[in-house]
Amino acid sequence: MQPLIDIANQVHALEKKVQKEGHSGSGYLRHIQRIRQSLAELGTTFHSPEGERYTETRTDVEASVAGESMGNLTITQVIKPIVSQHGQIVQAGIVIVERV
Amino acid sequence: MQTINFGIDLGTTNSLIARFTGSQAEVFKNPVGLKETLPSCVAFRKERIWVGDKAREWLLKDPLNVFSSFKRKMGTTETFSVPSRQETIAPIDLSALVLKELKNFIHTGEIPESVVITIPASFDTVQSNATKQAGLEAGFREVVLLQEPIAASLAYFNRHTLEKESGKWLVYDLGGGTFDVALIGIEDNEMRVLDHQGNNYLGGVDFDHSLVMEVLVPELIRQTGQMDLASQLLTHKARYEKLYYVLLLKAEEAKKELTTRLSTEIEVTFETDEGDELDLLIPVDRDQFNAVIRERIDDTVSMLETIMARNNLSTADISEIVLIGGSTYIPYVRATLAERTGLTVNTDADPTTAVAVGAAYFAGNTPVRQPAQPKPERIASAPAIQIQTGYNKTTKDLEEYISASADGVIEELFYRITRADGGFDTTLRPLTARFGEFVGLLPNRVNTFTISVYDGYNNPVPVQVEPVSITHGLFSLYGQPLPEDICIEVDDLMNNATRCELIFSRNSVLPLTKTIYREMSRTIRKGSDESLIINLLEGDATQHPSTNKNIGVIEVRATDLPADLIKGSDVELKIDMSESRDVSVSVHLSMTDQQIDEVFSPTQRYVSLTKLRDEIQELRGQLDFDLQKALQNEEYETAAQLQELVDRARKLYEQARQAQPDTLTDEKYQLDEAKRKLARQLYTTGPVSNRVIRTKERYYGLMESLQNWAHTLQEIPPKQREEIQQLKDNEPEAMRGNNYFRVESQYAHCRRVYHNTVLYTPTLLAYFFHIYAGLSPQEFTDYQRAQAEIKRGEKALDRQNYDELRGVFLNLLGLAKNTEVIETRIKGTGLG
Repeated sequence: MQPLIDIANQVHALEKKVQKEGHSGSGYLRHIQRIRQSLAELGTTFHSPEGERYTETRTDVEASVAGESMGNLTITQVIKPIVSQHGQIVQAGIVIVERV
Repeated sequence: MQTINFGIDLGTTNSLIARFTGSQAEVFKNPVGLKETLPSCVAFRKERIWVGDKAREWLLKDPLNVFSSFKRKMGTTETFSVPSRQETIAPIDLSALVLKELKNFIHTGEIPESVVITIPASFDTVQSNATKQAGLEAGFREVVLLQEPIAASLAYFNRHTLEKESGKWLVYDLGGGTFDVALIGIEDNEMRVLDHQGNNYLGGVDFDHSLVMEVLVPELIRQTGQMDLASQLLTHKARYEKLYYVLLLKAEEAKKELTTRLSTEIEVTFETDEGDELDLLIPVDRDQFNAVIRERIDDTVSMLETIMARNNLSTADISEIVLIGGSTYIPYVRATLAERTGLTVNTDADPTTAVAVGAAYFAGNTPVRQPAQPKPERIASAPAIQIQTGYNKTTKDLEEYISASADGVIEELFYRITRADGGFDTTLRPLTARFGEFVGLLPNRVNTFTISVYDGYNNPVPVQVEPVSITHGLFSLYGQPLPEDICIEVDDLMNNATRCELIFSRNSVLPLTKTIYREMSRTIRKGSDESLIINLLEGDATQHPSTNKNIGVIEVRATDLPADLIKGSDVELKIDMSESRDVSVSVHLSMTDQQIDEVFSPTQRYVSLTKLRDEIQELRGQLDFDLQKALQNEEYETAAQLQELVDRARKLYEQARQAQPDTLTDEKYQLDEAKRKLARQLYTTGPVSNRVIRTKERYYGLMESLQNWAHTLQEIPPKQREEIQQLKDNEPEAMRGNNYFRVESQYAHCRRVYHNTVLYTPTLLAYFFHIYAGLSPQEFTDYQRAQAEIKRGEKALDRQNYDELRGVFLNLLGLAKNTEVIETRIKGTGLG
């Protein structure tokens, strides 16, 4: 199981990097999507919760709260994605949460 | 003898629970996130009490209401003030909360009444009793204590206290936040802690912090010129506070990577004062990390040496050092211990779970002293509590409110709502007659929630409540189920035919998206007259493609290719179907890096003449074959029906051949309609329905032989046996109903397995060779050549050369009449 989680983490990092470096329109994302699909066929899916609202009852992420901890909190950075296997979360996302 | 079986490592930083299963120990995992460890951390946030990872999240941000490392205060009179609740809480209560949470890890449904809990070697009687009290507070009736180094030793020396019969050894425990070293010995068949020493503020988290401050920050300052970075990182709400958390998480990752690699890199995005983002790369090697932790590790080894000196022991008196705690994975720790002591460092057990595993081994060999008492009626009987829920079953929002009412005796009970994937948890809340919660939803799927009820000890209480299912986003104003399957046509080379591959199944709710990956089933040469055909169909995906309606065709002609499309190269198909049923197809050919996008609207129907001609040709071939078979079997009524269809197919093909692709008339649509009508008659009604029954009879006849052979002939090769089994496994699905396509496909598969089994099983090969050798001259097309083959075969048989006999037999089959019909190969789509 762990190797599949490791692959999901690396693909997520790669996807972020490709998007950040402005290659979103290029063919790189096609290959990444293909790996995602193959992982999904093995039962492993992953999801980046960046931009999503953070609530205390979310157990799909482990958050570090930066700055003010009161009020509406948003996930502003994802260090590791949420990884699920056959519908069950096997790695909580490692995220930074802030009041935006 | 009833034994305790459950063992708990109630650690300063992390806790675990394990169960002895008769031969080994199973470490239970948290149902939320599936981790084996539960941080020994408790947070009081408004009305909720969080234990574990969620509590740790608030350790730095809400330190007054979050408690960790309280194990160090066990047995003291110290209590903690909880401002959010305006109350005080004792370390025993906090430990009890951790123990109760660990009960949730037990997936077997057992509710342990007796348990072994481990304590540090340094715990005195008062501290030990406090731990026992925490166990009783958590609802265990019997608590047996075991010292951590003893537990770890049991995990290492395999399960039984007497496995290691004599000698002394050291247990070196370097965890997330604490360090302990203990000297263990066996005296009079009893394993004992002879001496110990430790530091309550030394562990993995200190290493992560040091790596950030001593390696990463200086390098960041060098690269960015931000001289006050260190202070800006560590000050609450300062400019780089967020960066500190990022660095801390990345330092922990780098630390783990450096256990197996000599160097790694940390990538960080740094925002300058001007607001520019710099992507920085910080290389870190193992030597740098070792330098950061060297002083602390040296201190631990000094403590170990102190113990040895205090007990007048030399290395010759110590057999080995066993390791506990996640930080002992660090190579420098292992190497330093080995170098400075000259002792063997035993790393046989998992240092993270060793204490819990050892506790479970001990529990598995310790009898229960206080037998279980009858359970309270509330637990033993049928559910006395009913919960009714109310909620929106479908929603577009990412949060939905569940309101509930509880009936029955609900005093001093708690409820907990969790999502099936483990991504949502309310934690324990007091159960009241009416309660409600906002629950988080995963987008575009059915979210299932479970409402559980627990007593004050976190033991589950039977409750009658339906699971809550909330569907997010799948239904919309236009959302409507698909009336028929949507599929594409792909080549079925094994059966020399094409078949449908399902994309979206009937009754799926629009909009829909799917990406599939296929391979080229044959090579298409650049510039040839061939083409790759993507044929999108609507109808029954289990039927033959020609019976279904075309939604659209994408034809990639070889003349438009910049290079050959080689067999086996990838074809990516992304299909989107909108709420108004527009179908967008995006085809990407990896070999030529070409992308073709088409949108098919439901108001237009696409017909490819090339494809149409190929399909009619395939129908003709099939009809001719059926007609010949019917005539051979003297089924003249069926033959007459088939002859009529053959004539229609010939006429249709001629019309299709003469039709012009760019004609303005609707001729090709009429031809397509006529073709589908013909295909439906062939495959679903008319003379073919009898044929399906006959095919089934033939299939079962062949299968009976195959199974008899598999039973009686040991020499059948394993590959053939596997294929026979596979056929048998597929049989129920294939033979269900009278689906022509499925039945024919299964029969064709069966024939191939039958032939191969004959060819590769010597006894069968010899038997069938003799049958064909005994045929009359009229049954061969060229009897003279057949005779020569028969002689060759007999000689091969004498020499028991079955490879040669196989070749002879195949030649003989080729010369025999009516054994195999060589079918015309179809052109297909090119998509495998």
